[in-house]
Amino acid sequence: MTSKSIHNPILGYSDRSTVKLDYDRVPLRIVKYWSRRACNWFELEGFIILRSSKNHYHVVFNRRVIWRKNIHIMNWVAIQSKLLKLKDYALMQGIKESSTLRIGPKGDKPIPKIIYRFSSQDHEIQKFLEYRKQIKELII
Amino acid sequence: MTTTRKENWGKRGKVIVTRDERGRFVHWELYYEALIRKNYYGKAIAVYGVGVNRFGRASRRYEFFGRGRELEEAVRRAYHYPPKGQFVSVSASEFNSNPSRYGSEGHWDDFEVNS
Repeated sequence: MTSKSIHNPILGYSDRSTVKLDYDRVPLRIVKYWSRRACNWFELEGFIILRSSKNHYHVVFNRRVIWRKNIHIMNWVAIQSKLLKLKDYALMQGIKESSTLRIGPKGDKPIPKIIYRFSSQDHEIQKFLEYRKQIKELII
Repeated sequence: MTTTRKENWGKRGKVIVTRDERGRFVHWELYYEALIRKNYYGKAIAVYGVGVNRFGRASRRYEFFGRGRELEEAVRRAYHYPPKGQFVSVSASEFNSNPSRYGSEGHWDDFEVNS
């Protein structure tokens, strides 16, 4: 095997209708607090938290929203929580015009694992998990 | 490093053109096709990283729309065809039928992870 074939690209899930948040260097209790607050305030039905690596978490919400609302929610959480990394994430998603979360491994980081579920999981979370399963099969 | 911008080509109409840092042509796509994809396709698999091909080493990204085997095939092909431009959003079946239209043979480098 040559050095060229060692690295693989990162695989992720991308869309405009699912509210997704990426918390970097944040403890789990803060992630839970802001996710619950956003979930209640915007009536997002439910959410799951995935652990990407130590103190790095992803959150996926259940309710389907339009892109304008999605940007609104991401920015609301980023501003209210005063988390700089989350602000960067929200800005980047705005530039790309779709939000993405990593599903495959990245460097030393393994595939994100679900560590917490809250309330309903039947709409966007279900679709996210279907794609996640499909991508995981591709990797394995 | 490549740049992408909108241009008006008399024969083709509005197009999105990608050029490298020396201004050499890399890739073109009809503007409305890109717009339709962006607005109407739903879920996508993103394949991204530092792509290295004849256009240089840069952060590059594919977004594939589609289902099942087509998607699987597209992701596998994308491993050997980093995109020509920085951002390519394409249906998996279209990419599979002609990967060299959207990508150029090469490989992916490791991300310089700073987090």
